[in-house]
Amino acid sequence: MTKQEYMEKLQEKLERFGRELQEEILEDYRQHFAEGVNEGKSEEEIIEELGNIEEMIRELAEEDLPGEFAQRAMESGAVAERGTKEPARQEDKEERGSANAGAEGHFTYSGSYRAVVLEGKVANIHVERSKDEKIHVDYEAKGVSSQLNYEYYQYEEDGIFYAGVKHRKNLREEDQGEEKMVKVTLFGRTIISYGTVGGFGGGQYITLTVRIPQGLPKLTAKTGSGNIQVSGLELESVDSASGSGNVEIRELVTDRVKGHTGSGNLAVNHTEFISADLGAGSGNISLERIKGKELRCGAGSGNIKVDAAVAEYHLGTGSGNIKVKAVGAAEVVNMSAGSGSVKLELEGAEGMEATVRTSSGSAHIAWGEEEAVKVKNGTYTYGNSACKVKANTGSGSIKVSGK
Amino acid sequence: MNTQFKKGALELCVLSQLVRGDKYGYELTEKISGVMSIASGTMYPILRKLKADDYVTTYLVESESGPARKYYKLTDKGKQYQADVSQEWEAFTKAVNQLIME
Repeated sequence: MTKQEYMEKLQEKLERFGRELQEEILEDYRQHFAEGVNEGKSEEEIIEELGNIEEMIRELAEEDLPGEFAQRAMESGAVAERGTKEPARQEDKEERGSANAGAEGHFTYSGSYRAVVLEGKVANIHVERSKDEKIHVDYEAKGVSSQLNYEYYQYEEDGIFYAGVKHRKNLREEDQGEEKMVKVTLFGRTIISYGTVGGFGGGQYITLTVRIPQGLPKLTAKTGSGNIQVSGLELESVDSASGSGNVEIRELVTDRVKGHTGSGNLAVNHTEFISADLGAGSGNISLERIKGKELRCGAGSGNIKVDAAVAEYHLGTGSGNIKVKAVGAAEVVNMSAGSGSVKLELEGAEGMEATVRTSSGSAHIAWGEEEAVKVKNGTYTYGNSACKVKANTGSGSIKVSGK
Repeated sequence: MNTQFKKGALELCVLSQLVRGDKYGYELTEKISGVMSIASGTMYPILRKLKADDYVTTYLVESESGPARKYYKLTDKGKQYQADVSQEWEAFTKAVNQLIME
């Protein structure tokens, strides 16, 4: 390729940009050729040195787009805002007191991520909707001692945004007894950041509040002893779990929602989903005003209370009670309790086929405006039999009513 | 390599070169492409952006070799930015090196 051919190609590729920009880049290249020739280089050599025109155009395209758009166009996740031409946009706040030590940190990230993964360990996790296009992460530690047991972190990898609190490992001697916040930022983005929070006991807590923008597809939030709250989001999937804390999910619109707790309570309300998978080890489960296709819900020893409009219910508890109010056209309601009682109120069904079985309890079924009648174990059909109901319990009683 | 990362590194290289004195485009690209393998052409959008961000200003000086040379000069904001980012870079490479060694 000759210089002329190369420059013609450059001119052609630059056509999509503004006049002023075109001229500037062409002039830069002309100058580059002149300097190279002056140094005794051949046109071929200079062309090779300048390199692939498309590569340069891509670079230019990223810079030339309006701020917000450019961010989305970039192939990696977090980039600092360029909108107002200032490089860094994180604000850090830290408050310390000797008597009642606490720490706060605030970080903001822009970019398009495939998922957000949060791990709280001992911290509470709150996830809310961001009012802008950015991810906001706030840490708050209250009443923590100066002992450095935990630190918080956030980073991005492969399009996934990670944040959380982790146990400090390899505590170096010189760090003992000193509170500090280390942040490594590069090119206006935080690459690694640590804040330290202390040991735990009564009156001490850490809360990680993460606000995520609309359109982010996946969220995973896990914590050991903290509580989890997820609210006001629309996304493809949500997976939340706490070891001993409570899990609360509200005002969510999602395809798949998972919520589990070991010894805490689980509450889901005002939520729409295609499938929900919910569980509690020893706590109670309360589901209110939820809507969806398939609900799977299991409790070890707690009660399950449901007020929902769902097509398929699969509910089970070991020693707790099950109480369900199903509104709308339910197709399947399976309820199984070990030793507790089972109660179902079906509303809006055109018919039902109810199979009840209890070992030592009593069973009652009511249909329409009729009084409830005591029934033996067996299958009873009403109306068009549209809704298949199965109720099982070991020693509890069963009450099913439909209309 | 992550393009954002690479671009940031290149920006830092350019700004650091300018701390030592004003340079014209060809001089800068020669200097940098002499050390790392990059297409010199891609430097021009970066220079343009540094100017748009007010980290550098430019001025033209007549040249015997042909078209006037466009010189790049660091602004105060650019100096501050270079100082901040090079510190960050040091902290970052130190941390990375430490983790590589461990």
